[in-house]
Amino acid sequence: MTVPAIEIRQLKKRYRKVEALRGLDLTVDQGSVCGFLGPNGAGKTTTMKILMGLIGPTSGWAAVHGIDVRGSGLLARSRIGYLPQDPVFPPYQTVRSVIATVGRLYPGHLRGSALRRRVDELIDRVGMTDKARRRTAGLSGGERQRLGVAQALIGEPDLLILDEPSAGLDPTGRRDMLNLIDEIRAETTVFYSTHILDDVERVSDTVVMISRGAVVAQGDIDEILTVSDTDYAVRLRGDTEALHDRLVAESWVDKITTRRHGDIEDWLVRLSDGSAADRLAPALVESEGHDIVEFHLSDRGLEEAYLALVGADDGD
Amino acid sequence: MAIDAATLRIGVGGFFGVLGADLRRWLGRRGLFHLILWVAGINGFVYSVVATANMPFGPLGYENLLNALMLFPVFAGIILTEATVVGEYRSGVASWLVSKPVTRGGYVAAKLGALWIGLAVTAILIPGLVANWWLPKVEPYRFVTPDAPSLGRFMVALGVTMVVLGFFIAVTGFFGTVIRRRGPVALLVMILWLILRFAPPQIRPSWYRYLPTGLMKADLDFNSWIPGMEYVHGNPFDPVSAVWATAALSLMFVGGAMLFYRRFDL
Repeated sequence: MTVPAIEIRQLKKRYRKVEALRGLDLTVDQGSVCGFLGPNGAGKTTTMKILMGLIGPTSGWAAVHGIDVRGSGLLARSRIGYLPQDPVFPPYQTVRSVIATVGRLYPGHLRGSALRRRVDELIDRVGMTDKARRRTAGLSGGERQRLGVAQALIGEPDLLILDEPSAGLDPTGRRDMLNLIDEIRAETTVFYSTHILDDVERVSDTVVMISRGAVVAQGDIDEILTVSDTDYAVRLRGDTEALHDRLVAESWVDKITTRRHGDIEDWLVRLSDGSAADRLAPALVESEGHDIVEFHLSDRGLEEAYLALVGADDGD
Repeated sequence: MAIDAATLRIGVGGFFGVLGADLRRWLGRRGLFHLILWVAGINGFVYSVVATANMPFGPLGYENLLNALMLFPVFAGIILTEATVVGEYRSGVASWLVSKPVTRGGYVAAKLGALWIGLAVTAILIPGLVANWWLPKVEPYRFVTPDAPSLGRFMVALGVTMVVLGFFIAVTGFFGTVIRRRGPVALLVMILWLILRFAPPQIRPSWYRYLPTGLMKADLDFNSWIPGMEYVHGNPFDPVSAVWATAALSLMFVGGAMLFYRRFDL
């Protein structure tokens, strides 16, 4: 059996009064591109920083390629390339020297002309050839992100952890970043966090959704998007409040996620089981004060899936 | 906890990687800037003192040289160490570096080591050697003894100054990791420098000579030589035990900084 690229069990992290992670469990398979989705403050960066040994967990266990990140953090980090959320580099170093410096930190690293060639290759790959001699202090946010990816790749890591790689990038930069992730999927496992659902749908094989420090869904993108026989999309016009209150009180309704656009309200109704649909349809029809514009099994995209699982929660 | 060979190799590699990166900086523009600044600054200062006949301590060329080396590079070391340890922690550069195959302790030790080597060479060794070349040639020759000291004895005196520099870099590194705020760290270490250098003999306990004081003590009226000068003048090197004690204390402070750096989130 192949060892997972990342395995996390019951990971908890408490910052004084705030519980950032509440027993996180996740697995990322080797060779996959895994999107790590969640609202602000959900615990994505905390999880990644624990994997990188930058912060210690309160309890729980995390491993990279079977290596415990607490007990053998150095060994684990020698197999990881990491792009932090807001990459900061020594302001006096040039783009080329940053990548070369990181390259020299990895065991069995390239030397001399071989290292120089590899650095130039990576600079070219992230589209910074004309900025290779520029000091990092003069780089824009997008350029720092690109440099961040290049320095993360120099050690030829088995796992690439990217914290919001497309944050702050313009549309062209974002497209280039996604293309780059798509390109490197053949070389390494990629675990990246993002808020941008389109990005996840475009390049990820698997997705982990996190909310309030715990995983709410994980698996193949197709599985996450698979229509469930318990999720119904309802579009209503008019006064829906009474109906909403009545339905949420029913034991066969698990959750109703609502979104309003003008006088139209979209509901995603999650039932306790598929057979409860027989009760939902009459309940919608019998109730007064609104029109039913649409009613069908949810054929959700990632956005609907995300909203259904994470809700309108903006984290803590 | 046992450390296996692979982990040790990675850790050592990370330490030398960070040390090498910082030393390369000293070999570049930064080193050149410091070299010019210190050679001109230290030698200019000493020349201005030596050439000013009416200054009470003007004739003591070498004494002033060693005093200057004990003061300016050490204060620069305190400021630069604070800027490195606290500055890189606050800016996020430290977090970035220790997310690589580098131990936190290795990172701190490499940063302090590179600063010490860089400053010791550009601010003490080379300016000192330049001064040693021209001081005996100044007319009228104002050195207190008729002959210039031997190069060996002079180098030992420079070495003592470097040990003192190392001590203050280590202390600043330690307090930098503990306090992690720039102003208070420098202030604290500079106060320590004043105490170790100028504490009156009446209040110094007997063991005080084994502290860095044994290498850097000076009376406020400048009526006695600093310990390095004793040796330059051919006297037995009394503070030799202070050299070992200061070196050991420096290593302890570096070790403390390395241990403490492991304790907080980055």
